[in-house]
Amino acid sequence: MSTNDDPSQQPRARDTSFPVVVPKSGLPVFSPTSPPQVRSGTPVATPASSAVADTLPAPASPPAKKSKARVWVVVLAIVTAALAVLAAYLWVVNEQWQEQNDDLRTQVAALNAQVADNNTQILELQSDLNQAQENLAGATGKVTDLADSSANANDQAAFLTELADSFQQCAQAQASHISHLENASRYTASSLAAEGRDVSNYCSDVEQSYVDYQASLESN
Amino acid sequence: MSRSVVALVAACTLALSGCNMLPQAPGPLPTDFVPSPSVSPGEGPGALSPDGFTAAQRMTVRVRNVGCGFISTGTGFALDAHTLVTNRHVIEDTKKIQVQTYDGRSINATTASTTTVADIAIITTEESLGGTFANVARQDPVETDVVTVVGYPKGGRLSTVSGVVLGESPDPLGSAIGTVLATTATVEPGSSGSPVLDEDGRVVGVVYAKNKSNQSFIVPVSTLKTLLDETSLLVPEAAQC
Repeated sequence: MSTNDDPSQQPRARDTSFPVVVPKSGLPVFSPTSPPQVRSGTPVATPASSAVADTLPAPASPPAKKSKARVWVVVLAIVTAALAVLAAYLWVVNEQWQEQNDDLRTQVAALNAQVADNNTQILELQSDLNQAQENLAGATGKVTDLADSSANANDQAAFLTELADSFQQCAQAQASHISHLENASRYTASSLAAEGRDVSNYCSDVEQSYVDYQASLESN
Repeated sequence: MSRSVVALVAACTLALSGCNMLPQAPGPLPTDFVPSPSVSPGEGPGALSPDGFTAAQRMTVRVRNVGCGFISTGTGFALDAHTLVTNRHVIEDTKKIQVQTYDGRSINATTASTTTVADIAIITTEESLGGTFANVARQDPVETDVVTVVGYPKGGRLSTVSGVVLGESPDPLGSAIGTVLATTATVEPGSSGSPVLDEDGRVVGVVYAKNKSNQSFIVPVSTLKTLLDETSLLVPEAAQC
C-alpha cells in the first residue's frame, strides 16, 4: 500500500495486472484516475466489459480524506476566527456609535432647552425693544418739537432784536431830526421837511413791522 | 487541495476588500464649534443711530438768515464738521447767518460763499456741526429714481418727503447755467437747500425751487461736485446793511 497521496506522480512499474481499459481502438490506456492496485493472483482474462467495471475510480483513501478534512477544519477555524473578529469589531463600533448617539441626544436635549430659554428671552427682549423703540420715537419727536420751538423762539428773538435796533435807529433819527429842527436856521426848510418825511416813514415802517409781528403772534 | 487554497485566498481577498465597506468608528465630536450669527443688530433697516435720528436728519440743519430788515429761513446739510451747503438765495442780503441742528443747537456761521453757476452757497462755521456728514453720490440720479428730501419746510419741524425724479429740466428761475432735475417730491418755502438723497442715503442733489404743479427742482450733485472741486467759482458773500 502506498502512502503517497498522489499516486499519479510516482506510478509503479508497469505490471500486467494494471487495470486496462480497452478503448474502442483496442490500445491499452493508462488510467490516471486511480492508483494502481497490486494483485497477487494470476491474472485472469475477463471480458472487456468486466475490466471496465473494475477500473472505475476508486473512492479516496482515508489519509486523503483526513487531509482534506483537516484543511477544511483549518479553513473553518480561520473563517470562524475572522467572523468572530468581525463581530467583535462591529460590536465595538456599534457601542461607540451608540455612545456618541447618546451623547449627542443629551446635548441636543440640553441645547433644545437652551434654545427654548433663549426664545423666551428673545420674546421678552423683543417686547422691551418695541417699547424702547416707541419711547425713542416719542423722545425723538419731542426733541424735534423742542428744536422747532427753539428755532421759532430764536427766529422771534432775532426778529425782535432787529425790531429793537430799528426802533433805536428810529429814535436816533427822530432825535437827530429834532436837533436839526432846533437849529433850523442852519438848514433849508425843504431839507428839514424831507428829513422829517424820511424819519416818519422809517419809523412808521418799524411800527408797522411791530404791529404785523403782534398780529402774527395772535394768529398763531 | 489546490482548489481549496485558491478558494481560501479568494475568500480572504474578498474579505479584505469588504473591509472598506465596514462601518468606521465615530470621530471625536468637535468641541470648538462656534456658530456664526446670522443677523447682526447693527445691520438692516431696523438699525438704530446713536440717538434715534437717521444720518440724513442729523446732517441736515436749519438756516436762519438775519437780513436787512427781514428774517428768512432755509435748509442746509453738513459736508464736514465746519462746512455746509445751502442755496444762494437762502443767504442773500444777509447780515448774519445762524444754523440750528436737528437737536436744537444754534451755531453762528463765520463765512459764506456763493456762485453764479448754480443756486448754491457754501457756509462755514467755527463751532462743529456734529459728527454726521453727507455722503455725496458720484452720479446724478436718473429718471424714475426714488429720492428723499429732508428739510425744514416753512421753517417748521424737521421732516422727510419722498418723490421720483422726473428728468432733466430747464431752470425755472433762470439762475442756473447747467440743467437741473425735476422731481415729484413736495417741498415748501424753507425747504430750499435741503439735501436730496437716493435710496442708499447718498446726496444726489440740492432742492432750490418748486413750481405751481408742486414739482420740485434740484441742483444735481454733479454741479455741486464741480463747485466743490473748483473753489475759484465761489465768491465770498459780503455782509449787507
